[in-house]
Amino acid sequence: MQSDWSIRGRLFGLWLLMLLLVSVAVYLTTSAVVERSLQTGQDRNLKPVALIILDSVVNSDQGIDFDLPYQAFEVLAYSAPERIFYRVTLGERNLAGYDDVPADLQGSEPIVFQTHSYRGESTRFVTARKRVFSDSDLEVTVTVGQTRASYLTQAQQIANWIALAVLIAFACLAVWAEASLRHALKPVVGIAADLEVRKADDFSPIQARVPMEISRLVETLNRVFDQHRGLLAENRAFIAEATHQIKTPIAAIMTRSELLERELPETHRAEAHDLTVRARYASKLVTQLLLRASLTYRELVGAKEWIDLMALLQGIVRAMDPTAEAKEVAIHLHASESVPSLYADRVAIREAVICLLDNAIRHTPALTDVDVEVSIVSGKICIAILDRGPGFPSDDLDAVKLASEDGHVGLGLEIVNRVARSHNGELTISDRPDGGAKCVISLPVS
Amino acid sequence: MRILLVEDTEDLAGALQKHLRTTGHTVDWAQTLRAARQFWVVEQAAYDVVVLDIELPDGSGLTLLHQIRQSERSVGVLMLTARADIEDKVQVLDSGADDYLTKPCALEELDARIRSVARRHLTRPQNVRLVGRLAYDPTNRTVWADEHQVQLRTQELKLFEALIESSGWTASKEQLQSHLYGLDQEGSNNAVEVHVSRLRPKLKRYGLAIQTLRGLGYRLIETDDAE
Amino acid sequence: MFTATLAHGLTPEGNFVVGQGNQQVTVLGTGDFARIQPVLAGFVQNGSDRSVRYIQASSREIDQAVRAGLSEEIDLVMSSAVDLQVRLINDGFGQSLSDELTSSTNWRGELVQWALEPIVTLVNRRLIGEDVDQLRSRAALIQWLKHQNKALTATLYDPRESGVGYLLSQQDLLQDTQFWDLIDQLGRHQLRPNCCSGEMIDQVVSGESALAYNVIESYVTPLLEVAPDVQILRFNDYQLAIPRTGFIPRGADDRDLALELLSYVVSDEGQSRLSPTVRLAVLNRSNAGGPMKPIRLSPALIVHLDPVARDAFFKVWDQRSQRTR
Repeated sequence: MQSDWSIRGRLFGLWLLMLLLVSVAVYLTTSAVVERSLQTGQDRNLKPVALIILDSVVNSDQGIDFDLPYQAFEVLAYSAPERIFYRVTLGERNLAGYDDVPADLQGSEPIVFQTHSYRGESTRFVTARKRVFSDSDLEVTVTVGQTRASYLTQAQQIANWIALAVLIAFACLAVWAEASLRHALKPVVGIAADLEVRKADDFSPIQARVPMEISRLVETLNRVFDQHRGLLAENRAFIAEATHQIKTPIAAIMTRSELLERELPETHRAEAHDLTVRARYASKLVTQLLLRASLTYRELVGAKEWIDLMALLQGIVRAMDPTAEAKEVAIHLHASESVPSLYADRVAIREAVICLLDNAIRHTPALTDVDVEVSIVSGKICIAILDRGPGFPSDDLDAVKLASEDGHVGLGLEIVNRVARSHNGELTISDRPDGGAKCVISLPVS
Repeated sequence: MRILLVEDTEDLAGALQKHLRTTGHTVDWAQTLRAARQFWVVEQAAYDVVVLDIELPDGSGLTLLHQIRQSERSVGVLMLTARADIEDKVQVLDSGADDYLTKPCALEELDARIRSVARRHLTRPQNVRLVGRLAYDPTNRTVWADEHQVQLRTQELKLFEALIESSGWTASKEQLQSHLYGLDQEGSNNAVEVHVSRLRPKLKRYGLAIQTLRGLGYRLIETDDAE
Repeated sequence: MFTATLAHGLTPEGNFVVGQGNQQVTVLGTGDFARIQPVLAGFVQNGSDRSVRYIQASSREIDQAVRAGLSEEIDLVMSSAVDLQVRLINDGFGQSLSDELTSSTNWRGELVQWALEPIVTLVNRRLIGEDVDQLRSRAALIQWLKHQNKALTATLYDPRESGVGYLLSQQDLLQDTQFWDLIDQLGRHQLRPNCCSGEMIDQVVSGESALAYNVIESYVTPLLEVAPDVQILRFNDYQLAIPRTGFIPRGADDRDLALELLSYVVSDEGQSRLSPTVRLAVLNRSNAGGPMKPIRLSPALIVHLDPVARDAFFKVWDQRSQRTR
């Protein structure tokens, strides 16, 4: 069964999604934190400048006096290569610096930090204020500003490093996730591999230690194995028993009718012969039916092995010789070249060849030859059985099976066909140009 | 021949006994493994062939086969089986049986196999007739090459006998034909030619050839091109 | 009139062209054209089809012109008034230069220092006598002035009249707490502030003044051979230097050529065409004198330009230097 999804794939996908989300969140959070902390640093540089100016304010005859401390500005200038702005006001009146610097103060905070776009650049401003006259609400406000470009660049650089770190962590975690999933799924993969290599009739329980998540699956599998083993054994026993039970009485009938045929006066002999023929037919039918059942079982349990085809065929020919002899038919076995070992069910192949050979001997006229030829044609081992009989009514295997009136020919061919197919091969039938039938089982050299 | 028939189905056993006796054999019938063992212990020297069913009510025929093969006596064993479980056949041959038959079987086939099994366990007798490198035993109708039997089919054997009897003289086709099929039986016209052609390669390796004399018949001659 | 289009209200002191090439880079600059001409000539020779127009104006006029809005034709602004230059950049009139240039001394990658003018003190040996060799530091000078009963005349830049004078005074104040003592002592004798370096030097050469404090060295050097009485004093406490700087104004229409010119000026070849006194390498000069303190390109300089700072300075200045008035 082909499946288009895997647990590992899905879990890994979920992992990746989560990692991605976490990474994005980590990146956004940390870069925000970085920007904020850099901002705080800048504010810390700006604030003393404003406070020093504010602290230098003294009242004088004209109003107020104050210093613009070069050194404090110099310290600020050293902190970053940024533009610096300042402004000092008394009430609405501008006393010093850039008169367009935004110095609006809402609320009552003594120190306010603000970010404005000033002269085309994002600029951080600190504004400090205090009342200077005891008899008036007039306030001195001092605003000091510094552009933020280098802070922003630095924040961006740090964010980039964080992004790189997050990316590396992400990659490591992805690899780790893959590895841990692989590790976690190991028992499952192990069981699958175990099931794959075990023989079809091996129904022993799975012994591997499995995690509790899949222990129930394994238990169920083991139970199914158990049931299957029982069923198969039962089936096998049934076939053997049925064979024995049916064949024995048929054998008795056949033998007796044959004897009867010999003993009866010639006038009644035909009837006895008819009985023999029918008994033979019944016997053959039963044999083939049971053979079919038996082959099905063997196919199911997978009884293939490496076999020496020529030795097998020699054995078959020797075994069939008495049958052929009775009809004065000779069987010749040839091989055009050396035949490699074949991975096949020995019994199935033997029964198929016997079936074809039996057919051939029956249909070929007395004193003619039946040939068994083995050749290798385009990677396939071909076992051809040739006789000098009447041949087939058609080249079409299905038509032949249907047209066979006595049935057993058809059933036999069907068995042969089935054996060929179960070995990824095929059965072809044809008439020989100079008379006779040719049946070929072709099997791929595995 | 004396035959020990071990078969539990009474019906079948009766029919087989009857047939074997009709064809001139002496038959002892054992219905169980136990009975069969007793027969074997007492009479083993007498049997030429044992026809042995595998499935017996009190055990497998294979155990008896094993016992037979362990004894000194060399005897032909033909196994009978009704099982479709065809692996049995291999097992049977591996256990030392000479041949097997699947029930039900035609009587002719049974006869042929009994004959062949019996022949296999003959020892080369003293009183033989030497032809080329072959020895012919007229009593048991067997052909030997040194200590080994040469397996010839019945018709081929008959042909060989006829040619030997002609002792170097030409045997006519009609003579051979009547030898093969008897006078009353009418064989196919070309039967002699077919069997001659099948016999030729079997004899060739033993330094024998069948010479065709056109219009006259056939003659057995010795050649030098033996292997 | 051609110059009217360059900037609103600009009255140039000179208008020079070097080379005949069609690709012309226009420089708005201070100082006498003569000292930079060899460098411009080198630049013109180095490329094909180049020429340089040099429009000379005072630093204050340049500052005002830039603020009023320059014509696109001005590709480069070069000035010795480092405080004004820094303020122009701080107020956003410059633009980013190439990476190559920012490897030299610069501020924000917009303002590049291309020459250093060391500041020295000039004395007339004839008037001061053998005591001259004792005047190794400002403190020594103050002590000497204190004990000098014979009245002598000294001169320096008038900080009111001269931007350079004001800048140097403020820098002295940052470096040295004894600056006002020096002014006191000079004021005790006779202090004659002057608007320009030419007058100051002339006074010392002629013997009218015995001493000129804070003179641009490169202006003095040519005179030394013709005026044997004149001697340069390099104090060993510290020695100021004013950087000459340049920037490409925002909106300059031939930025690339201006960049090439600026790069050439700071290159070894360009520097070799400057007078040895003002080369950037002067920082490493090993002859007598205190540590060189070039004025840093710092936005803090804008503070001193603030009227509040000026008022505070002149309040003290007037008190200290008043005595002779």
